[in-house]
Amino acid sequence: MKTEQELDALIAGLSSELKPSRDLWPELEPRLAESAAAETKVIAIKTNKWLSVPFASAYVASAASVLLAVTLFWQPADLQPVAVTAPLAFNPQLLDAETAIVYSFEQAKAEQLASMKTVDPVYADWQQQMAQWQQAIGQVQLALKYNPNEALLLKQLRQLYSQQQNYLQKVVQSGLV
Amino acid sequence: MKQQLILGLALSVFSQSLWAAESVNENLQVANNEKIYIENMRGEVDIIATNEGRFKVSGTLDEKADGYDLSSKNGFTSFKVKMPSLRNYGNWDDQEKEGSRLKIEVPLGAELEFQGVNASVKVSGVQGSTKVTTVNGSVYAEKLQKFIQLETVNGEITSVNNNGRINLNTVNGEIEDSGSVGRLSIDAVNGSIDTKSSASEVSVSVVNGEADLELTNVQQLNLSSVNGSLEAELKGSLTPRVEVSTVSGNAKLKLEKAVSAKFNLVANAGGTIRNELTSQTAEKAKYGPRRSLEFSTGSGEGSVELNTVSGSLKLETY
Repeated sequence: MKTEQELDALIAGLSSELKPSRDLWPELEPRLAESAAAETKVIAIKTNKWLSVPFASAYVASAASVLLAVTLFWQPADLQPVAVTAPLAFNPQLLDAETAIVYSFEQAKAEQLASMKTVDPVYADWQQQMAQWQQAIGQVQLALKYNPNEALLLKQLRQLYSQQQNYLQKVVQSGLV
Repeated sequence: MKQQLILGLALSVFSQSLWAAESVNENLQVANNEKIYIENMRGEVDIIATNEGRFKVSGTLDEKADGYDLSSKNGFTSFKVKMPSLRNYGNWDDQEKEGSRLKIEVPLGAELEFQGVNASVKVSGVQGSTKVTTVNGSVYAEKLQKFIQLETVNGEITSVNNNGRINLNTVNGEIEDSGSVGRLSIDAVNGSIDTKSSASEVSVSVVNGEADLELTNVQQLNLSSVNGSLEAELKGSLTPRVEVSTVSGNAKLKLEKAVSAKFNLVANAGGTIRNELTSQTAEKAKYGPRRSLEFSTGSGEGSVELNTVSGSLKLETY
């Protein structure tokens, strides 16, 4: 049975954003058009004050602004420049200490792995070794769920990543010799 | 036909023995603080420092070597056993039979660097600095001074009576150190560590292996382990600064009865804490699996911090 604090800590650890695994726009667009048509139909039936002359100018104005916004910002997907679709620059300094550590070391690790060409046979079990560190990192992260921002655990997390990084550096260099 | 075959075999054996028997015998006068670089990919090398002020190399070269390069100029001496481009320098098991057999003399004050692959090295008496790097092979180092860096991947490191800033590093081998003085840093991934040291600053890191430390008058100690267990005895340290961290490994510290320090022990997720130094016991957090223990002895001058995720922590006294 989890306590409320533990649940809060777990909830705090969840990502605040969930990105769709596929492009949903092609499916959404026709349905929006349908609902817009239905909305128009309903409005047409109504004979209340919202259809009176003073509001009509407001409708025109808002329709114009929507049109302007669409004209300015909407472009067909295949014409959009890459920079527009790229995510905003990620600033680890704005995150909590644990995420910042994980982010910076994982990024460095990805770069190391990308630079890996061949591996000397003496490091044949390097993936197994890396997995052991990853398991240990996972254990520390689990402990951090219970004790968020605990300085000693954060230090340990950094230390484990640092050890893993040094080891990976040796593995990468072994293939460059 | 039979005669031709015998002749061919004889020539083959003869040429092989010629190939294997290339010897080397060089002797150069060099500065006492000469910077010396030695490269030998396979075999056994014995390096000894003497007060003769010379660089002397003798023995036999690797069977596969294409001779050697020796140069000495402006205080720099380099000796390289030339090898054909091989991706793999043979198996660890073959090492006993293959490779160079060299005995090298260097001046006492030399700054030495050795590089090998399937090579075992024995080095003694160098008072400048020493850096030894090999991959499959053992390293034995004795009576070295100043900056001492010994590194192997699959092999044992033995360090005896070294003095200075000592750095010992292996991935799969064991490390044995005794009589070290100065600053000692030992890293092993899977191997075990055993040290009897009088170094004032000691740092030990192990991933899966065990570490057993007998330390005398250590002032600063850093220990870390992932799964392996750590045991350290601190003789004569009355106000030490100690930091120990493990993930699932156990850690045990044996301290002087008269130790004066502030203690902070934390087991974050399921670990245990045992204190045989004083009567204080660990407290369990109201919520969650965390246990912790804080107390002071004497005037609390030193600092002892032990941290584990799920291992056990223990304090003992003499």
